[in-house]
Amino acid sequence: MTSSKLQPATRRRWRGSSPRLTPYLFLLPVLVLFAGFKVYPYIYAAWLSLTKIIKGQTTFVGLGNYGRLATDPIFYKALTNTLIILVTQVPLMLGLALLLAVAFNSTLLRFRAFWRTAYFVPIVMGLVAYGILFSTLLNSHHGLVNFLFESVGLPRVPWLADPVWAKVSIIIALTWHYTGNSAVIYLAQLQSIPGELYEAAEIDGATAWQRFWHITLPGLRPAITLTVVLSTIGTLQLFDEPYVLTNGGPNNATLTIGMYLYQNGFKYFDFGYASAIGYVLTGIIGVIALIQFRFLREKQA
Amino acid sequence: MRIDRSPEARVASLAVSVVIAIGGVLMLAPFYWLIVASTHRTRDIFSNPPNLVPGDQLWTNLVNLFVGEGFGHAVLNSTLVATIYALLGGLVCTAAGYAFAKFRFAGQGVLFGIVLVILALPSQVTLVPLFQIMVQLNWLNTYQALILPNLALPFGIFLMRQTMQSVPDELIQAARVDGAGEFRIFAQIVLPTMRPALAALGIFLFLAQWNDFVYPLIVLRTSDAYTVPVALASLQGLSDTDYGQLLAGTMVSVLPVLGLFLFLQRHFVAGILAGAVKQ
Amino acid sequence: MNCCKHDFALLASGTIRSRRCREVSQRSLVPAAWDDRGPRNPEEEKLDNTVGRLFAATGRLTRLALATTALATLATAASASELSGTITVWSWTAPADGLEAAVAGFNKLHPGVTVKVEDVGNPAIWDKITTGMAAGGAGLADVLNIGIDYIGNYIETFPTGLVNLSEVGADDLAAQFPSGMWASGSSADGAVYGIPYEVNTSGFFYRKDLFDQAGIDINSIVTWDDLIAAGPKLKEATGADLIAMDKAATVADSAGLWQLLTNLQGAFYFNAAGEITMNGPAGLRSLELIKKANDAGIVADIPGGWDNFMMQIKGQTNVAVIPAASWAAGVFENEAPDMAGKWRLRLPPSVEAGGLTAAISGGTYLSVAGTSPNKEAAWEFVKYALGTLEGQQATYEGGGMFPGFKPMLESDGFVKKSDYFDAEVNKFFIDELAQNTPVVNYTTDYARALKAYTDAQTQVLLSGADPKTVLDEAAALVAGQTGRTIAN
Repeated sequence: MTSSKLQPATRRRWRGSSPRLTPYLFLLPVLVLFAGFKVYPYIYAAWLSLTKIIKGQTTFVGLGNYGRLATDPIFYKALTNTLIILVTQVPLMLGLALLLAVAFNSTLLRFRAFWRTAYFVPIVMGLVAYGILFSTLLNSHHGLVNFLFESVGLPRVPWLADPVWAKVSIIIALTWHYTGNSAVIYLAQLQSIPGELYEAAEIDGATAWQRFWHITLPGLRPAITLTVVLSTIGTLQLFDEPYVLTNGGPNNATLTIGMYLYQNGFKYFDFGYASAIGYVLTGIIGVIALIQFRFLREKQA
Repeated sequence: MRIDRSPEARVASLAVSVVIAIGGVLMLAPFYWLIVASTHRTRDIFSNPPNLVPGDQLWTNLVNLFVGEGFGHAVLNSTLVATIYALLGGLVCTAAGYAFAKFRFAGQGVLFGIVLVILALPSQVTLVPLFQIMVQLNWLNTYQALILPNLALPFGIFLMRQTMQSVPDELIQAARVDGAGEFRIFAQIVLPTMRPALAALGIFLFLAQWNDFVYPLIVLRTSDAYTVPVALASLQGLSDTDYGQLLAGTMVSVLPVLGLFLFLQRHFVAGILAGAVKQ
Repeated sequence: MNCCKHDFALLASGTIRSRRCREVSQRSLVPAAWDDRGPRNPEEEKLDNTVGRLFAATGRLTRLALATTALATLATAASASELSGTITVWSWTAPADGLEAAVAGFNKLHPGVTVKVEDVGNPAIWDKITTGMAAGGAGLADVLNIGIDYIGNYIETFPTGLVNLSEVGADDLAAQFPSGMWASGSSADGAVYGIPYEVNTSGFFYRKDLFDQAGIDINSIVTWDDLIAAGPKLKEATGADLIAMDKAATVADSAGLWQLLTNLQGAFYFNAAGEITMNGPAGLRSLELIKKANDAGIVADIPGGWDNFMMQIKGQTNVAVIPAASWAAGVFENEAPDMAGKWRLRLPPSVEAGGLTAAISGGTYLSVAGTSPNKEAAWEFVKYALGTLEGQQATYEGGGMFPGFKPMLESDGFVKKSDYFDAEVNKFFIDELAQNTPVVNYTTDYARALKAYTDAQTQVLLSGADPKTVLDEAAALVAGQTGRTIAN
C-alpha cells in the first residue's frame, strides 16, 4: 500500500503507480489451487497419452497413440461431426441469446422477470431426466413432436434415426438447454452500458436498430467474446447430448470427440488413447480460441 | 429507461411479448412433463400418446424418495457444498478476473493461457489422477474434495475478466489518487459496480457444483454423503428403475437453483445505479 | 457332525464345535472331510487315507502328544480365522437389495464382520469401478457386482484388480453353476475371478392374442425362418409388427437379437481362442435373418430404452414377440398387469431345425477387489450369498435375481405357476440352463465388437447394405483396433 504520486487525470495506462505485487496477490489463490490440483493431473494425463496397456501392463509407446489417432477414420468422423454442430449451433444459439437479452432488458417486454426465469430454467434440468424427455419427445413412432407434426399435416421426421436429422435433434436439444445461459451473461453485461448513451442517441434521432448496432453491440463485446469462446469450447467437448439421445448414432453420425474420448476411456479401458484424444482436442480448441480472440479483439478501440 | 407508450411502441411491445412467450412456453413445456411424470408410477409415465394429465402418486413418490432413499440428505449436502463453493469460488474468481482485467504484469499472457488450457482439456482425462490425489490426501467422502479442486474455475475467471474490462479505469485511478489501498479499491469501489456480473457468477458457480456428477460419484463413498446427481443415479438399475421416484427427485432438485435465481433476479437489472462515472 | 471325521484326537478333547472345526481344518495338520462343501478331489482323498493309516500306526501316547500340539495350533488358528472387520459391497437397486437380505444370515456365521451394501446405481457403478481400477485399485469396495459384459475387460486390463478366487477355493463351486456362465467369469487360463450372481437366459415372450387373431399356432413355429414367414400374416391380420429393433442403435445395447441368434448357433463375437468370429457363418446367418425380417416390413423401428420397452409390454406399441431375457418376466407382471393372459412364454425358436433353443443372454458376478484389506471376509460373504442354499434363498427373496446356483434352482418352491403367463416361468429358464449352450467369450474387447456390430446393423437396417460386406468391415475394424485375428 504505497501512496501514489499525484498524477494528472490522463487516459494513459497507469504504469508504476500501482504496486507491482497486487496482481500476483490477487492471483495467489488461483495459483495455489492450480499448483495443487491441476499440475499433477495434467502431467499425468500427458504421460498417460504416451502409454498403452498391453497384456495388463502399462507400456511406454511414445507417440504411438497420436500416430494411431492421425490415421483413425472414426476420429475424423467425430471431428467432422463436432465441427458441423459447432458452426451451426453456436451462431444460432448466441444470436437467439442476444435477442433474448435485449428483450429482457427492454421495457417493451411484459412480465420480464418471469420470462427471464423461464428461459434460464432449462439449464437446471438433470441430464438423465432431460435425456429421457427428449428421447420420448423425438421418438419417430409415438413422440409428441411427430404427433403434432402429423396433426398439422407435416410429414413425420426420423429425428433420431437419420444421420442429418439426428444432428438437428442434438442442435435443438443443445439450444434448449443452453440459450438461457448465454442470455444471462449478456443481460449482466448490458447493465454496464450507461443509460445516458441511449438517451443521447435518441435525442440525436438514432433509430432502434442504430442504437442496437452502435451502442448495444459494442458494449457487449466482452460478453460476446466470452460466450463465443465458451460455447465453442463447450461444443468441441460435447458429450452429454449425444450420450443420452443417440449414443453417437446412427452409425456414428452424431459421434463427437467428447463421446469418442469417453468410449475409449470408460468402455474400452484404453486410457492412453483417450488421453491422447484429450490433448489433441485441447490443441484444436487452443488454435480456434486463439483465432477467435484475435478476431474479436482486433476491432477494439 | 422511460417507458414509451406510443402506439408504435405498444404494437412492438405486443409483438415482442408474443414471440418471447411462445419461446418461453417451449422452454417450460418439458418441465410440465417433468412435474406430471413425478405424479405417476413408472408404468404410467411412458405412454403413447405421452401422459400429460397429472396422477396421484406424487406423495408416494416423494415419501419413497425422502424416507426410503434418504434423498433429503442429498439435497442438504448439495445445497451446502454448492453454497460454500459459490461463495469461495466467487471470491477467488473475482480476484483473479480483476488482476487479469485491470493490471499489466509479467506472465499475464502465459497465465491466462494456462487458464484457457485448463478450460479446454476435457475433465474426463484428469479424472483418474485427481482421484489419486484425493486418495493420497485421504479426502474421500469429504466436502473439501468436492469444493477445492475446481474453486479456481476457468469459466468464472474468464467471466470476471471480461465483465471487469468495462469497469472504468478512471474510477480506480481516482481512488488510487485518493490514497486508497488496493484491496479496499477492489472491495469497495470495483465490486459494487459489478452486482449483475457477480450475481451471474454466483448462479453459475452454484449450478456447476450442483450439477457436477462424475467426479462426486467417484469421490463420495457412502450414501449419506451423496450429492443430488449421485443420489439420483443410484436410483437407476438395469431393469427396475423407479422412474416416478427418479423424476420426482429431478423435479425437487430443480427447485433450489430456481430459488437462487429468483432471489438474485433483482441484481440482474442494476438499473440506474450502473453508471457511476460522474461527468 | 459330518466334518472332522478323521480328527478323532481333536474331537476327543471335546472343545471343538463343528463350525470352528470347519475353519480350522483349512490350516490344521489333519485335513477334514468336507461333505457339505461339494465334491472332493482325488488329492484330498489320498491325503486323508495316508493320514488315517498314520493314525492307526501310531501309539496312543503319540496320539495324545499330537492332539496337544494340534490343540495349540487350533487355538492360534481359531483366533486367526475368526473373521472381523467391515466389508463394503457395491451393487445397484434390486441386486443390492438381494445382497442386503443375505447379510443377516451371514452375520450368524460371522458375527464379527460388518457388511455394508452400497447401492451405487447402474450404469453409475461402471465409472466408479473403472476409475478405481485405473487408479491402482484405490477406494474400491471389497465386493464388486460386475456385469458379464464388463468382467472380461476388467480381468485382462487390470490383472491385479480382482482377486483370483481359484486360489481361495472357488473351483470347488464350479460344478454348482452353469458351465457357460462360470467360464465367462474366468480368465482364458481358467482362473476364476467372479462367481455368477444373476444368470439370464433368453426368454421368448409372445402375444398369444395376436397369434390367435391371425390364426397362427405358436407351436408350429420351430425355427426363426418359420417366425419370419408368419410375420406378414400377423401384420395383415392384426396390424402389429413382428418384432421391434432399435434400427439406429440409439442405445449401446442394441445387438440383443443378433447375439441371441448367433448364440443359438453356438457362436459369438469371439471364439474360445479369442479370435474374431462375428463375421463367420453364424454371425452372417443371424444378420441375414434380421435383414430378411426387415425387408419383409415386419420390424418396427423402436429405439431402445426403458420407455419403449414399457410401451411394448403394455401393448401400446403392438409387437407380436419380444425376445427379452429372463429378468423381464417379473417386469411384465409388475408393470403391465392388465395384459395378463395375453403374453405367453416359450423357448426361443432355433435357427436351424433341431438346433439349440437356449442361450445365456447375460448376467452378473460378484468379485473381490484385489486391494481389499479384508479379502477373507469378502470371499466368505460371496460364498455365503451365492454358494449356499440358505444364502441364496435370502438373496432371491430380497432381490429376485435369477440365480445360477443349482441347489437353489432345484429347491422347492422355486418353480411356481405364474397366473400371468399361465405357465411355470422359472421352469423354462432352468430347462435352458440344462441345454448345452456354448461358452460365451466376451473377452476384453466386447465393447468394441458391440459398437462395430451395431454400426453395421444400422447400415443394413436403414440403408439396405449387404450383410456380408458390413460384417467383414466391422470385423476388420475390430481386428485393427485390437490386434486380434479373424477366425477362418
